[in-house]
Order: sequence, then structure tokens, then C-alpha cells
Amino acid sequence: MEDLENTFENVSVELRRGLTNLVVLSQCKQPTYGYELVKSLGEKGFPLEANTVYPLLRRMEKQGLLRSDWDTSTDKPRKYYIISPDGVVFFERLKAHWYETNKIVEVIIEGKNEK
Amino acid sequence: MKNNLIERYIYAVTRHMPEKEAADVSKELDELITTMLTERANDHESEDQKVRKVLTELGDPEKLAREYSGKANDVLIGQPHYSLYLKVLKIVLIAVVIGVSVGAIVNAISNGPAAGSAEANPWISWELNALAEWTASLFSSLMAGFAWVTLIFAFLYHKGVKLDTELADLDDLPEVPSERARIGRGEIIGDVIFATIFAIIFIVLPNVNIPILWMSSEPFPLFNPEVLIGVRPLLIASLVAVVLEAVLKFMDGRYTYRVFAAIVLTNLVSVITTLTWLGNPQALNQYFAERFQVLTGLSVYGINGQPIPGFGGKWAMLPLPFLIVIVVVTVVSIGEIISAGVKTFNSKKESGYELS
Repeated sequence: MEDLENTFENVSVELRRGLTNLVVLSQCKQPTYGYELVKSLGEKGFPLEANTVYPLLRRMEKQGLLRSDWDTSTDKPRKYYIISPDGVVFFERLKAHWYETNKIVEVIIEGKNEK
Repeated sequence: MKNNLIERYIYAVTRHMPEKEAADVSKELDELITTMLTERANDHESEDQKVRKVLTELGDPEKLAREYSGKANDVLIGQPHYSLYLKVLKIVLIAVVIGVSVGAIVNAISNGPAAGSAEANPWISWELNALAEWTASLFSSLMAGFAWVTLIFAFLYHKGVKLDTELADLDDLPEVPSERARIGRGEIIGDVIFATIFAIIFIVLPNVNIPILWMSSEPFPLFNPEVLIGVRPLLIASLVAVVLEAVLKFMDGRYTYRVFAAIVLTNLVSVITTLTWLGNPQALNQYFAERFQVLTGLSVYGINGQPIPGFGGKWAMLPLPFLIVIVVVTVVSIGEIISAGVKTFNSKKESGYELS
């Protein structure tokens, strides 16, 4: 059924949307640039488009979660992002929240611990 | 070598951004596109084809610009502001209709027709003027009301002003719809019968209207046929309004917003019609007045020919029953609008939680 296929697409996109911040933050412990993120996340099985990652990095910088610097040492200047101290706190909190939720959801959907 | 297409793409993304941000994003996108092109360095394609593929992959520049602005899915007024916006808008527009209409009627009455006018029937031009003024001010006021409410809510939504729309107390839950919010068939049938009789007597047979049989050897109409014919458009408008109201009442079966709107319309039109017709000193058949005087020795105008106290101008010398009808119709109409309004907004509140 094409309709359900569509619905599945929409729901899975919604599921991933919230996780994107968590995943991107986790990759910014070392200085990294946008396209590097796109490539590495794609290889790790969490594909994101460049047109999502670049605006997202900028937004996170505005929110104070990331810091950025232009590396002009090479002939191709690149903007590198790294997580800020606030970002680390935020990331740890979000990660804990994700694990906790994951655990609860697993118990619920797998019917574990039921009487 | 700079590619014109790349420049144009970047410009399309950044042109609405603040200067500093635009410069930064341009640099960033330039770097991204260069990197993506380098990836494809070994592809067997022309430089132009590669650029086109990369830019297509990046997608619609407008969409990218929206992503950068952080307002990719933004709307003029979103939830929860939108629900309240609709509610407030309806109330404001209804209030504008009532306010402007009452104002126009009061204004028209207090001005009256120009004294000593050379026109054959100053009352006709007076009523047309009043109608035109009412229409014009209604239109501009509705527009202004709509614009202001929309602007204010768009502002509140985009500033992220929080609305206290949550249910504070369980006891605030609305009552279950009551019987009185419903409209019975009998009421509708009554309206239609009244409208039909009204239409036949005053619109179809203005020269007969209410025949007076006993005052003269030959029957004659109680009302002046010429005046009746003059107000025919208003009489027809009243009829149309009554029929519209009956149809909507029949369809909805309870007090909905459109039924309420129809009730407001019917009452306004009937008040205007009554004022225009019975407010005309010529509305009564002159012959009736003469026969009345002969038979009873009393004048039908004013109170036995004396001005009715508390009324000025031509109003004081109208036949007293006419003035009473005018006052009663106006008061009853306002009462009907208020009562229908109460029923409508109570039943709306009630139906709200049936759905949720």
C-alpha cells in the first residue's frame, strides 16, 4: 500500500528529527566541518543531507551549543565547528534523556516486566 | 575559476539574510560546493554537469534559505495562537457588524431628512443615503477589524507570546448542550408562514394591502400604496433575509455562527425597513386619516393632533401606533440578537469538547 509507505516515511523522519541534534553534537568533540559530518554520518548509517547539516550547525552555534572557527591555513578556507562547554552539558543531558526514554519505550513495546 | 551558476545559487540562498550572515553563509556554501565538486573530480562529466548535479543535490535555494532562517515550517499565525485568533476574529467581526449598524441607525435617525428639501420625497433619499453610509462604513470597519486582529495575532505568534489557554479548573468545563440551544421545527415553520403572509400583503399586493371595509362605501387600503411601492426593495430584502434565516435554521438545527449571522441580518433589515416605511409620514393612507377624523372627531397623527412627547421632528407627528411599532420592532430586534448571541456562543463552547 503506497499510502502506508508514505506514512512510514513521515513517521520515521519525525523519529530521526529529534535525534539529529544528539548525533551531530556527539560528532563535534573534535573540530569538524560540515561536509566531513555529512560523509562520516552517512558511512555510519545515519545519512543527513548537506542542506540539513549546514543550517543546523549554524543554528546550534547561535544557540551556544557549538563554536566555530575559519581555518585559513590551507588554500581552501574551511569553517570548523567544535562543541562548547554549554554544548557538552546539553549533550550529556540529552544523551541521558535518550537512553532513559529508549529503555522505557523498549519495556513498553516489547511487553517486558509485565505481570 | 568561479562558476556563474554557483554564484547565482549562493546569491539566491543568501540575498535576504543580514549582510554579515550572508557573507559568512556564502563563504561556507562556497566551501561546501567546492568540496562536493572535488569529490566528483574523477567523474567523466563536464565541469558544468558536475556543478549542476551538486547544486541539484543541495536542493531548492529558497528551501535552504528557510532552513538557515530556522523558520522552515513557519506560518503567519500558528497554533495555539491560531485557535484563539479564530475565536477573537469572529467576536470582533460580529461586534463590528452590530456596532456599525446600531451607530448608522442612530445617526440616520438623529439627522433625519433635510428640512425643506426640494426633492419630491426626501425620505427616500434619506433612507438611501443611510443605507449607503451603513454599507460603506460596515465594509471599511470589517476590513479594519480583520486587519488589526490578524496583525496583532501574527505579532504575538512570532514573538512567541504565551497564551493562557489551558483549562485551569475542571469546573470550567462547558455544560452539556442544553435544549434551548436547539431550534425547533415549529419556530422555523412559524417564521416561514409569517414571511409568506407578509410578502403577499405588502410586496405582491401593495394597492390592496390591508383593506378597510367598514369606513366607507367602498373598501380602501390602510397603507399608502405609493409609499409601499417605494419601500418595496427593503421589503424584498427583509423577505430574503427571513427566508435565508429559516433555511439556515433548518439546515443546522441549532444556534451556529451562520444562523446567528442570519438572525443579525434579518433583524437589522427589518428594523431599517420599519423605520423607513412607518417612519414616513405618508405611510398611512391619507383617506383613512380623513375618514377617521370624520367618524371619531380625533386626529390619527401624534396624540390627537398634538406632538408625541419625547420625540422630535417628524417623528412626533407620526400616528402613535406607527411609532409604537417602530419602537417595539427595534427593541425586540436588539433583544433577539442578544438572545441568539448568548445561545450561539454558549452552544459553541459546549460543542467544543464533544470533538476533543
